[in-house]
Amino acid sequence: MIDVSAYTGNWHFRPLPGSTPQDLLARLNAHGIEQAFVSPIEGIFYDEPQLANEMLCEKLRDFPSLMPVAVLNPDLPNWQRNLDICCEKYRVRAIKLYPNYHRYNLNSEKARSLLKAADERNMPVIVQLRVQDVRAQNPLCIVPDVDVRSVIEAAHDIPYTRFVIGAIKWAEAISMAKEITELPNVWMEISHVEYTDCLRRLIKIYGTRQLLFATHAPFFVIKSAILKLQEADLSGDEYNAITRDNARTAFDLCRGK
Amino acid sequence: MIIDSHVHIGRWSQDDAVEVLIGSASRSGIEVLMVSSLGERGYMSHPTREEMVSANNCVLEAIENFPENIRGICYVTPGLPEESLAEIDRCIASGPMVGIKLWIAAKASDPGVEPIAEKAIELNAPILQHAWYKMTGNMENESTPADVVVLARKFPGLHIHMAHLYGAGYRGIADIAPYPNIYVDTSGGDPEAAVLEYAVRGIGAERILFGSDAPGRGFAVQLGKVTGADISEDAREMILWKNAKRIYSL
Repeated sequence: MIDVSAYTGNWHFRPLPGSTPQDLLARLNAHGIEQAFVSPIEGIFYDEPQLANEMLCEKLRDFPSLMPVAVLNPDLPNWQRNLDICCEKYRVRAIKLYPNYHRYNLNSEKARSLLKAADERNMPVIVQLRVQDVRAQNPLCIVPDVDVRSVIEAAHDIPYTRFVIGAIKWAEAISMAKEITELPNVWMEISHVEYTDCLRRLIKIYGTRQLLFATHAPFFVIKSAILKLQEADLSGDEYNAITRDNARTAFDLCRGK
Repeated sequence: MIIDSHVHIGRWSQDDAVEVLIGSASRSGIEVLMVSSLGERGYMSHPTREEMVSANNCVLEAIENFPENIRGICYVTPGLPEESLAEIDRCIASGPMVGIKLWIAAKASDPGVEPIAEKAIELNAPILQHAWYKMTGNMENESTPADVVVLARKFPGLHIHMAHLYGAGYRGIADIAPYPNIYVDTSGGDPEAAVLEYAVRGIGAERILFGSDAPGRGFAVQLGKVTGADISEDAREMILWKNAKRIYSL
């Protein structure tokens, strides 16, 4: 199994057990997850997320099954240089964007330049809609969710870049199903999708092509992600697509690096 | 055995039909659902007498049709004090239901809740009280755990099943910790790691009940909060069924 959205690092507002690479990997492995795409939690709040990326890449050197995802901020003047470093010096496999925490419009000129540059580097872009429930945030740091329609708009206009919608909720996935299913360059990870029999219902609407397994660990309990799969009583093909094969396509894991 | 202490049924979408929920729950190994209805045709924060009665009739029908799987919680409102007491008599004193549900018609601290609390004590029926700390602002008359504490202090003999541990958060756990007549269920948000472990440490596993808040939430994901928590097996069993059995005398 491949987890397309996990993290290491420190969160300001509460301790997160299992947030070192070693602990995270042990917990993922204990649930049958062999590989994970991992981004640095510090990249959300650092003024310069590249410092968090470099810390992450150094920490993950000894953990080849944890693949680094770099946080970039297109509102900073050096994002292109940081992207180059992530590609050339480190084994970064994807980019993660936080338009809400970093306060920019995903469809601004600068952000679109980054989205296009990602494709030139053969990097998928994870656009994270949220990190935690807005109702449960610290009162000093209430950050609204990213509007999923901004991702759809960008993906429509930049069709060669691969987009992964991070932390989409059930209601968003249902209300935007027509638009999302029409976009061959869009996937969505299912860590935040929850409803009665949600995965089985999601497959009825979407099929399996665009669905990616993710835990959102260490913020979320890994077991919940596993039970969500089990509840759906997936066929072998469905299971392989959602937990492995789609991730290989979206993140181009067949390329040598 | 697993008992889900917080489930809603109705007849306003195909997703809240009781047979759908029993089927979904059983796929996660959950055998008993403690259900309330907040309205036959939609959630009613200030139900009329007719809406309250029809909501509870949904639950009575579910108990009759699925006696092995369903236990009932009677939905009432402090906005209709006489009618609510009569409804509690109909559904609990003279009927099969085992608890009383209060939502957002009034805060738990409101004096209007007092007659209902006295009735609950008389019948030894716990009150399932919605509560949340929303940093984006609670709804009008939506209780916080601090409001629940006011009710618990007024009525030390009342068993209060406070909903939504994950909505109450760390502050809510701290609020209720000194009051042994307040219990809390595990519903109320995403499966955030380490919250349940903190609650077990703060108030003890014997005061925590598994609850999903289905159908808006999923049985499997919510169950993972408990089965994936780093707690003792004794604590897990208490949370998954023993506490609900004890507190509601099932």
